[in-house]
Amino acid sequence: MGESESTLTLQIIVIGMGVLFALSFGVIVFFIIYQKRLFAQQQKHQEVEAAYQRELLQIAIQSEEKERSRIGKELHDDVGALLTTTKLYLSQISPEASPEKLEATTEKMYSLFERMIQGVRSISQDLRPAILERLGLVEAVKSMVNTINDLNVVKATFNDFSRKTIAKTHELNMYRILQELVNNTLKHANASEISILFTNELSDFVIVYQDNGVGFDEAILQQKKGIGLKNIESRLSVLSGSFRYEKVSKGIKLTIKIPLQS
Amino acid sequence: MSKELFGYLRILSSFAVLLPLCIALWKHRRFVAIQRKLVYLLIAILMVEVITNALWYQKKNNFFVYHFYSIAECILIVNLYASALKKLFPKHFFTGISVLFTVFAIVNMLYFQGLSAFNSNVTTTLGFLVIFLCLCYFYALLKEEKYSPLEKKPMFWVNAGFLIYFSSNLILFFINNSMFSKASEVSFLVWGLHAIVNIILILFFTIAVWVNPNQR
Repeated sequence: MGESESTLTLQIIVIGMGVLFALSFGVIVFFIIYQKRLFAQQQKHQEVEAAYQRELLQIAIQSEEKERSRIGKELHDDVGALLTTTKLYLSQISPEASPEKLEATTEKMYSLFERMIQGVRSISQDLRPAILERLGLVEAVKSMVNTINDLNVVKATFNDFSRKTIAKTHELNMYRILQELVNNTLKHANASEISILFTNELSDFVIVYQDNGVGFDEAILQQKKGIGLKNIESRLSVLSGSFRYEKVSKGIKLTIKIPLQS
Repeated sequence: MSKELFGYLRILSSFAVLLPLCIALWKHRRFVAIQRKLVYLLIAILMVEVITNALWYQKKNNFFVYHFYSIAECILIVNLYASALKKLFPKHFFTGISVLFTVFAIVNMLYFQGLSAFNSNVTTTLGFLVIFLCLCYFYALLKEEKYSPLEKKPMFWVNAGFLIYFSSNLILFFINNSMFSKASEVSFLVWGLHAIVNIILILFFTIAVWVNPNQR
């Protein structure tokens, strides 16, 4: 091999090695930067998710506290007051009292006990609806619809086209979600009709809730969610479910989907 | 490059492998599978360096060592990637590569480049193969569902070292046999460059042995 040819080959090798070294080094640096960016995005996403979960947890705690305080108030104002009154009547019973007075006091006490039993039953019903426990979600919703219709303010309808229903353990959460929706309609919507529909879609249990009230602006709702709506989200996250609003001419239409295997 | 400087570089490059091996001795208790497999490769490198250097000092041809080492090196490297790329390729893919490469290396040894010649065909093929596996590893990292810090992944450092080493030396391995069969100023320079890239590879191995992937 001539000297000039050897020098040329050497130059080719050295330049080639240098270029390939720089290229591979560049690939590694690019990859590190790119992966770091992806990693940062993932962490940001996790932080947002964690913040959302914390918010849901806070709502769940708030809602539980609110419920406890409501039950406490009911026990104090209703059952507590009745017990105090009964105690007063009881103090009037003495051997010297006339038979007429004794009979009247006993009757009043009997009626007070009846009211107390009703009060305790009502609180117990609120805590865990007996019908839901005994007959399941469909019958519990039918009963809820009947109660709404008894108010003669709103006309509620319920249709069940589902073939498969959600797990028994999830029924209470679903019932509470419907209760929350009905409460929202009764309190804020100024509606005259409520419609609840159960159906199945692929592997999901679907609930379509609709009213013909004043409705709301979804953009505003996304920015400013009330405790009720956050409570629904919190319960749905437990069920791995999702919900979406559909635009309707009047009122709201909400579709809730819950995976049947959840 | 002077012969003296090349000598220093060669010695440094040959025995730089002792650094990751010493760290491996110190940290072997908390090693993960990839680090253990890397240590097997480091031991193989050390053995080859000891034998080739001993032959070099006796002024004997040491090329035959590389014929056998290339086969062992391929199997050990493929073994490293077999666990790192298990989601990308099935297990028999790696077994197939190892078998094919071994057959190719033996055929090359018997019919094309004998034991007294440098096995450039085999080393070049190994270079291409490892570069392919390196790129596959980067692809697998991007496909991960959950990203984790790269600096704590021993395989990332091993992969980066391989990519730099094999891509830089690809041309050198390919034309080495035909161009620089005799020791000269030019061959000292080229092999000096190889020694530098080799030291960089060993440094990457050292980091791979040093990092603790289980540490949070």
